[in-house]
Amino acid sequence: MSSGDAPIAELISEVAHELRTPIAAISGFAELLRIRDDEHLRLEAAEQILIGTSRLSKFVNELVAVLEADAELTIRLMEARARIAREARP
Amino acid sequence: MKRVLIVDDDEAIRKLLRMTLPDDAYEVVEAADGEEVGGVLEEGPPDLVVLDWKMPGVHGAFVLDELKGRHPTLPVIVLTAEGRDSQRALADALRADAFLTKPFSPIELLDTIERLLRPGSD
Repeated sequence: MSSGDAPIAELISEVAHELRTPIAAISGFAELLRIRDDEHLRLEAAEQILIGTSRLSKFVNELVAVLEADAELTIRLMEARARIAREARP
Repeated sequence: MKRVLIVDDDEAIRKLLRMTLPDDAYEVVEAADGEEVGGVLEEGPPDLVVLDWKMPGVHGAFVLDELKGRHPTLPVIVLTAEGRDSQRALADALRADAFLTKPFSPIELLDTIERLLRPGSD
């Protein structure tokens, strides 16, 4: 990996971190539900699974919005580059 | 009764760890970041620490280094969403006793805690 890839690697690491943490809570509470018979735990685990799911959903929505904005900017840049190239032709 | 310190900025993970550890066998104390660890240690060292790696403020690596400097035999489990080999190598170099990545199995974590607390495990 070149040094120019470092920001991308850092971004991927950040995204992975933001995804893995709520997934860890969801899967962990689900596993506790499977192995423990406890009413208090059942209610708390269900609540935490819902909170984790909501958190994941919010993060994915934000991520998609950022990617869409980035894609739109890339398309505009490509269009501008194509126009400049056309206008520069003799 | 063994005293376990959980250091993690994520409330849901702290709650999960607290509920994973049977309360008839473990006393759980919590710190929401590296800066809170010092205050907890003033009450006496725990028997084991479960330490998040990537936290706002003081990074887990600094907390681990400080813990091992003050209490070399204190078992520390790094529990992290950061799965890169370089981070595992750093945790190893700083003498982490175990390195588990999120998502993790609560059963696997409990097994690891029991193994590290077993007499003669060090």
